[in-house]
Amino acid sequence: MGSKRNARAETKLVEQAEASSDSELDAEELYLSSDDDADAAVGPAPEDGSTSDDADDESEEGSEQDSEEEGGSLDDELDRAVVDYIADRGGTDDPAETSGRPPGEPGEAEVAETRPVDPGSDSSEDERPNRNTIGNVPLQWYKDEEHIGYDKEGSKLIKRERRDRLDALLARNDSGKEWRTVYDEYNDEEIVLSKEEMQLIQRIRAGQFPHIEVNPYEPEVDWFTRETEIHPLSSAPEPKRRFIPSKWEEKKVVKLVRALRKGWIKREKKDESEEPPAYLLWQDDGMVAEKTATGLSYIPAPKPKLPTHEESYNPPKEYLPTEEERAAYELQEEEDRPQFLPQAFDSLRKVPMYSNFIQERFERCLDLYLCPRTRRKRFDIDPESLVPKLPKPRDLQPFPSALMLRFRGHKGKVLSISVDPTGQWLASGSSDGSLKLWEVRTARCMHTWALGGPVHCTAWCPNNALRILAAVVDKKVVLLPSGTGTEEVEAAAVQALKLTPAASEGDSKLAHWQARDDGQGVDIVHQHLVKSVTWHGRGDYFASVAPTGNTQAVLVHQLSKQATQNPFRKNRGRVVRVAFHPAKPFFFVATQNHVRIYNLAKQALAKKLIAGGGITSLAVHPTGDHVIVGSEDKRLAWYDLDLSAKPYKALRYHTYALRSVAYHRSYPLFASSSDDGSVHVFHGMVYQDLLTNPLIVPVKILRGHERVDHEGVLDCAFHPTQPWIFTAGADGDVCLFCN
Amino acid sequence: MAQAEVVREDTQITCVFTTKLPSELQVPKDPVAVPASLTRYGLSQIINHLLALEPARPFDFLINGELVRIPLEKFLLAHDISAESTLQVEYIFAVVPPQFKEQLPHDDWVSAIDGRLGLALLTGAYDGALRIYSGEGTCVSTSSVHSGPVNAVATLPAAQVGMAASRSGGQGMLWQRPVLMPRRVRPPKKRKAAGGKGMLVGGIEEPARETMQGHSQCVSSVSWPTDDTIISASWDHSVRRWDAETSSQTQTLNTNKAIYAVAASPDNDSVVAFGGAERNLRLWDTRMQTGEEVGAKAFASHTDWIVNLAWAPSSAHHIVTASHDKTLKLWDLRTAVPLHTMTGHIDKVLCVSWFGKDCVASGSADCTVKMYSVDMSKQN
Repeated sequence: MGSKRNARAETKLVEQAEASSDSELDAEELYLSSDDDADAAVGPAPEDGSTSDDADDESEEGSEQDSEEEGGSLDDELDRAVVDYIADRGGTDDPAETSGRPPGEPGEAEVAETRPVDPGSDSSEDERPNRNTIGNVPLQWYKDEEHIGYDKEGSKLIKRERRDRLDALLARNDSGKEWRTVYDEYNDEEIVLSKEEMQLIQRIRAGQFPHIEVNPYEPEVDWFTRETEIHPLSSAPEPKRRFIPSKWEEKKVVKLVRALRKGWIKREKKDESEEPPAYLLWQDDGMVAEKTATGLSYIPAPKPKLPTHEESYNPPKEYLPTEEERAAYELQEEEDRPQFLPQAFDSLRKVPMYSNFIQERFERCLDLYLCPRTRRKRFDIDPESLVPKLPKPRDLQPFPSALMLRFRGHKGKVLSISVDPTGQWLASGSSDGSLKLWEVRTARCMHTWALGGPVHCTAWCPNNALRILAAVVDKKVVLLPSGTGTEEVEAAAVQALKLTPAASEGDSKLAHWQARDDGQGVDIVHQHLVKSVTWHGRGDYFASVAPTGNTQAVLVHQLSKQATQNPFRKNRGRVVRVAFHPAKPFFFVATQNHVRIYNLAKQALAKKLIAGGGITSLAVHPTGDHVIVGSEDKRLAWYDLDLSAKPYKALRYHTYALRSVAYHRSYPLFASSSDDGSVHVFHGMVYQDLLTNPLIVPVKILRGHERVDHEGVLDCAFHPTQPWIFTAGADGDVCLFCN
Repeated sequence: MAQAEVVREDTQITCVFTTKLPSELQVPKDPVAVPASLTRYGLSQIINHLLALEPARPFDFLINGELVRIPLEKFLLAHDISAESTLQVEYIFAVVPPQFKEQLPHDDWVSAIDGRLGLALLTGAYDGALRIYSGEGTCVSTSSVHSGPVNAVATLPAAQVGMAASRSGGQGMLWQRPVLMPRRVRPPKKRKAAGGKGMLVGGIEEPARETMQGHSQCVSSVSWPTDDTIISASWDHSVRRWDAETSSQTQTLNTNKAIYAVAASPDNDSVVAFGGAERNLRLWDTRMQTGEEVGAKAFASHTDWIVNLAWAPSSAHHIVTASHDKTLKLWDLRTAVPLHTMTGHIDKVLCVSWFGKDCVASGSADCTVKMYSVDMSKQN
């Protein structure tokens, strides 16, 4: 405490002295008023002049030599302390004049010799130590003494001899330094100020900031602006809080320490006796942590491949591309070029910077910036594997593929065709009112019946012993002996078509059986326009459809008894087609939007298939378990009766409404014909195994007909034994497509 | 590859020409070096030059039993024969292109024709008429014997005037001398039926004595080359060989398409040619026991069904086929390409037969029978 107070007093003293150097008394009083350490502060005044003289002489000689040798270097090495000192003193222009004492040479020399100091430093360590050790005492005390004070050893510093005015004038004229030489009264020295120091002084006098490099009026930069900047980075200085310990951290630590002391937190004691087990450092490389504390999963970077010889800075010659190869690479598209071309360098230090560094770094940043923040599970599925494996059509041979025969002769559209059970004969009904019988092998028309109206439907009786042909004309179903069998067969047909008296006389409300005018065959005259006729598989029953017939739309006729019956009492919509189940007592009735399956034995509805879109045709698979339905909405629907009332497969391949569909009797084939003039043939394999769904593969598109009046292929029928298909076109031809 | 290097354009091939022709047509047996690029025509020129024939005659050449139809170098490559070995080349008279001889108009499609014996040509048409033409092409007789179309006609070798026709009803009708070969018989259970042997000597309208069952679909064609062998073809894709004595089936060849025509070689009843919906003429050597397709060599050229075929009576190597593609083709079985194609019909050709040894007669849906002269006299 004492020393502090003492120091304060001393400063005060100095200030007082500076302010009024002439008032000796005041200073003395002030000094005396400062307390107990006064003795220590004011050193005794030793009286020894001889030694100081010697010292002066020596120093004078040395300084002369130095000044001659070093010349202007003095200017640069001037001490800052002196300047400060002078500045403190009031910044006189010419210190020599102010002091009124001629400056002495030796002081200068000593400064130059002993104190080489860094001029830029502000540190007090670098300040030139005073020669005099009297401290901050008024210099008046030594005014009348021979010495100015004492040096470190305690010997007196003898006052130098004063230069007279003449000498000063001469010196001023001789050297240019004289005008900037100041006299240090305290140390009894002369100091030559450097140019910088002079500038400093001048700046101070001009009222400017002393240091030339400090601009107190720098333009203001407000680092923390309220305006939103486009770049998030700034060169703002780091805030203070970075450098001071966190208050909250401290609180947290205190809390933890408290908890530890109170035993709230227990630390597990490590068993230091055991060594930590060795573990595989890269074990979890490539493994993705499922979840981390942040909720973000860690995705390790992919590992690059280890470099090979090729990537060496000086690879063997065989790795280096030749000029031709380089030229070839240049010609390639940039994407196709190799990523890396081996190059050879003499030494590793000649390897240049990686040329794509900036580009890649930029792209990497871009990737990071644009990468989605959520991690998606990628399904590595080959799209090809999602496509169902369908066999190729060539593996599904045989199927009709080539047009082999064209049956020409009809003058109107061929509305309906039917192939006889042996496959040798074909019957076709046309809109020109004719029904023709063709020999399949040669496409020869064997017989023509003029039935007097468009023949909308024709069907061979499946009973091969009769060889009867059924055709639909207007309101009639016509049964004709085909004349294709042997004489016994023809006789049987005639016998079957010979009307019993009961049939011909019986006046049924449903239909009237009557012999034809030419004596060949039978007409069954209905009440309404008949559109189609279908035989039962045994060839005894056949059903006719009159769509406008309301409750009499469907009539079932029996050939052997020559009787007609109406199976339905109720009208459930406009009936389009009917079909018999090939084996069971089921009956399929297709109205415009539904296919109803009736159990004839139980006389009940067995199933109802939902179709929609205007059914135009219906075909039943030879097994009876599957049905295909063609409709006006260009759709061919395959129904598996065991599955559901909705289509198992809906095939939309045609561009116009479907006209007919057909199943092959023995081959796994089915086909659809449409108004777009094409016939699509499908492979439709039905497996005995109930667990396997039918395999449906489109195999062929057959085009052989031209469109006439927006009508294309009106009917199609498969050959009963060969993989052939007959198609009836609106252009009046019947085509046979063979495998 | 090595062969390809050897056979260059200027390569010479050493040939030895042999022949079975008469001695005045034989060349010396010395080896002759000929350019490898020569075709049949060039070889024929060489033979003509060696024999100093005037006028020149066309020859055909056989190497290892196969006719040369491509340049020699390609032939050697295809058959893997070294060009440095001495080649044995046999030469025969070439079949000159058939010349259209005559056209016999009919009233309806001509469905059946037979003139094998060379005395008269018998034709059957869809209007049910049978016509007999003499060798000069004059109609000797016309008779409408059937109400329906005639499907097949046949002349009987034993009785020179014996003729038969069958109709689609499955019942044969006799004419002049009783011969019955029902061709299309379709009993309800899809059986195959061929004419019984006894009918050759039997009386009028005799029912079939034997029924051979085996075919599942209609029988399209039968051939009866020797007394005890019957060959039949059917729409059920099979060709069957029957023993006529026991009415039993001895061999079956299954193909994958319907067969319309079958004929056994007149020389050797074990070689059977057949054609059908497959559009290829096929050859079945029944001596090959496997019954596989290996026994059935294919000759492809027709573009439509082959509906009839006939072996040349004077040659074991030549067959003429009739097709729906309006052409007849003459085949030499020693090469895979047809020798000649006879055009002229403007509609489907339905039947074909040799008329004598040097004439081919064909009936077509254009209501004509066309006759072509084919010089087969020099063929062995």
